[in-house]
Amino acid sequence: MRKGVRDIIFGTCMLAVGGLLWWETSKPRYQADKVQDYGFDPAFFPRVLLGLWFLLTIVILARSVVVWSQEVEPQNWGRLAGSVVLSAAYIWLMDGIGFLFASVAFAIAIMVFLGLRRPMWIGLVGVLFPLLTWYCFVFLLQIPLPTSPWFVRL
Amino acid sequence: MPALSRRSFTAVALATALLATSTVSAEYPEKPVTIVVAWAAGGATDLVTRALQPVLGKQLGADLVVKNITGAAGTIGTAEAARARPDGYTVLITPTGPLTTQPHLRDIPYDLDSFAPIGRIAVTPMLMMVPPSSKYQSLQNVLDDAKANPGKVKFASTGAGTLPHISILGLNKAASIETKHIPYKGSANVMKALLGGEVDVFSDQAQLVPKYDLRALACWSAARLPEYPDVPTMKELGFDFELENWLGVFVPKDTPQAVVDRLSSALSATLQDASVVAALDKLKVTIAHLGPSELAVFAKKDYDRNRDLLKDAGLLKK
Amino acid sequence: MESLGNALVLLADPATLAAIVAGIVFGMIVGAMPGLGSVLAITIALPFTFGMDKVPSIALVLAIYCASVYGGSLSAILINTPGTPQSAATVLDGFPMTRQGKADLALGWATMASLIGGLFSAAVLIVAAPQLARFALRFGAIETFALIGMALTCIAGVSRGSMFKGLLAGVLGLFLATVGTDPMTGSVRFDFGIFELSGGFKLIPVVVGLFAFAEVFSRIAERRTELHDVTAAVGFKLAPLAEWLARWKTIVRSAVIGTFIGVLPGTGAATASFIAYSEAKRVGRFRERLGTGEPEGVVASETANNAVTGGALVPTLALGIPGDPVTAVMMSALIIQGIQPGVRLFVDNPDVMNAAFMALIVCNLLMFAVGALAAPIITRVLRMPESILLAMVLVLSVVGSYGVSGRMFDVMVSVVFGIVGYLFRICNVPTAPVVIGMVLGPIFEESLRQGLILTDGDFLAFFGPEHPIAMVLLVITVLIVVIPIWRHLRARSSGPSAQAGR
Repeated sequence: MRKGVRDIIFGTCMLAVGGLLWWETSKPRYQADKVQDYGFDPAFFPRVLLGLWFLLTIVILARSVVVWSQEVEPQNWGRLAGSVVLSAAYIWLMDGIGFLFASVAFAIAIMVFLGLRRPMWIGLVGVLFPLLTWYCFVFLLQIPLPTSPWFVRL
Repeated sequence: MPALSRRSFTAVALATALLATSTVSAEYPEKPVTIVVAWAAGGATDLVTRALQPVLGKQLGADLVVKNITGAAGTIGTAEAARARPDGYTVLITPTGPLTTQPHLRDIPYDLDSFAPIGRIAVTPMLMMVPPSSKYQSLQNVLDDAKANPGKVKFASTGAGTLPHISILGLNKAASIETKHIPYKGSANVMKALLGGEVDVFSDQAQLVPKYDLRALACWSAARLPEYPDVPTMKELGFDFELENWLGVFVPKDTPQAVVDRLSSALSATLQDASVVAALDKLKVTIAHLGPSELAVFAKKDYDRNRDLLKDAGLLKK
Repeated sequence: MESLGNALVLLADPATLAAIVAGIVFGMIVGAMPGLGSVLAITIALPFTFGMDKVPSIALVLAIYCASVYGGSLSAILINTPGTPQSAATVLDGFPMTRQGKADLALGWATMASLIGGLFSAAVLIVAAPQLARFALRFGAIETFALIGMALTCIAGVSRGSMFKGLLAGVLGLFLATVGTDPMTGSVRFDFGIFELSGGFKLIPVVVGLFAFAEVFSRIAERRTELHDVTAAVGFKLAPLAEWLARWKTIVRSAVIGTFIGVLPGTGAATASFIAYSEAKRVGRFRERLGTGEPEGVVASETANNAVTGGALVPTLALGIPGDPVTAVMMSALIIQGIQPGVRLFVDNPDVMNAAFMALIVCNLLMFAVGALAAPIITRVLRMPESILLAMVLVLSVVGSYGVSGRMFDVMVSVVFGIVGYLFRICNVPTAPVVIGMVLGPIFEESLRQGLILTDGDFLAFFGPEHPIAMVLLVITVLIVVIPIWRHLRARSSGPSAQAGR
């Protein structure tokens, strides 16, 4: 992809998001009559920011011509998508079966996915690291982590 | 699945309650109990909770885990507690704000009746205070000045819907004065503004007065405070107000009665424990215990009073 | 003098020294974990102080405080993820150094800089606390607004690549800070019907996402397979003295900036390190190389954030007004010990306070020692196969963003910002300005709107004769913005003519 194309896509996205947010600030609750003894209404500051937002985005769009011909470093989209999907699955799993089990599964999966092919390392790190983390948080730091439906603390 | 287990749990709890209350302790608690604190670690509510934690745990016979879920004036954590399974393993320790004022201000997924009370821990009296260098010697001075210069006397609060804010709204209405209201993030920020001369008057917890050498003009409690015998109450000054902050323990509604009883007896025993009394004393928190039924009445009264005040000020949610 | 002797006796107690060492090790570990910060570290240790004597418990809390600020730099340098937001600016040059195989040197610079910053601010605290505290009281809403306005100019300083994209990222950060409950009116903004958003975006999940997740995603997406780096330098190495002397101006400037920002309630260590960094970028000796793995950047950030420690204790101890959540927890620890911070503190407890000051100095010295000893062990993570390292970073990031407030929502926020941060990298948009914006946004908006209430809506009155400090800060801000533009324009207009003459 060319850098100019990239910047135009980026700028257009930012304009769209900014426009959506501006539209949001025009809803009645941002100008609520609650304001009487508070000085400025809640939409005041965000709108100042959105103004700057539009201005800067337009400058970026205009400048996309300057970098038009350069190429963006190619990315391995497949690997990226895989790791994002794995991370999302990890969070979803953690909600269901607790931190420890989900982490062991995830750690092993991501290491295999990234191309590690040494079973002993995978097993050792995949089990011991989540176990150690879990122990430190739950027992030493006393920070509760998501639990599974089967056990009290794990 | 949750509905089923809730029902079976209720059945078991009911059965044991009918047979003998002493066996309840064998049933509940059988795993760690989570205490939700809707404020940051190290805040006032959190510190009291952590002071109670070891003894309350011993009284209950279970490990207690404190979970700080912060944000949006305590409503995020309180909502999380309201959503929890009503099995006694999620307990909320909260000041008055999230339960008795926030539900009036905006749409939140809980209300006061989403909770069943366990007991009140403490009451924090409120004083109206001015900096030592202030020209105001009495409430009358403040009112006279506010009448002479409408919208000029600067009152600080710790944000919309907080007790300091409600005290301003109440006074504005009762004395028919107009003041300038400046909200700050917390009482420490207000102290800086008060000592630096940015604002004139503030009403909040009484212990701030000796801490920062301030002058107290009025007391928002029903009777004069023993530590400040010279400070008149609002009632004596001719305003029918009673505002105070309190700290209570709640569980989600529909929690089995046996569990509520178990928790409330553990709480009342904890609040009589010498080490807890000493720890809370260091935090300048005065224990004022109330049982479940008294707290229910007390909290409802606060809830209704705040709604009326906020309604008059036009802040009630639509 | 006599009370100094008493203080030494109190400090020489083995219990106190044990508390300091334990506090340093614990603080460093918690600080280095992405997501867990100083507040949490101190809160966890608080129950232990209930049963301790005054001096050991104060020493423990001080040690945890200093070490947790330092600990954040370890993960910033080694895995491109600030352990605490205070170390976000350390990433900018610390991690490039690691990529060049100079992690041992980077840790040496960071540790020494932390020591210098910590000692400098401790000295200022001991000598000038009451005077500085009085000065801090003169910083009302309007002065704070002017100061934050000046601090925002450092967005330009950390915008590598494109200036406009950096500024846009800064605006985005400021905007993210407005999501959630408006602190002034209580109405909820930009929640789009999601109740969890009514509490706003928390800083830590966003930082973990923009740095940790984005780093992992972009390393995974690079067109290389296994990046196992066996040549990474492990250990701990101090640069030669000449190298330090070459950067002495930045060190002094950063220490002063850190202490000063620390004294003013409500601004915080992250702000200080960003300002110090952008000052180094503006006038530092090696400013051209900043952002590419130049030690001056590490030194600026780390000196400043540790210099905040002593500075932040000034209003906390001398006025009893804590400037941020960290000092608020520390103040609670003192109150639990029966010590009431405030104007009478030094009169009421001279021995304890002198011992506390000495403890602060000892903490900083021992922190250096522990850091130097621990560095060879922790730098070994760099010798691990990358797939293992990335798996560990991901697990720690998830647990760190969950630990902040125990909600899965925050973990989701982290992952989403990880994707956003990755896309920003592809688009050459710097992410550090987002953090600056999020840190400064709430204070900026709050002070602006408070100021507008105070002046009855008259913005120009902010810089009137009633607020001389604000006026001075405004002038400095204008100069910071205008001078580079003017220089740039002059260089441009003189450039072609010089060429034409040749």
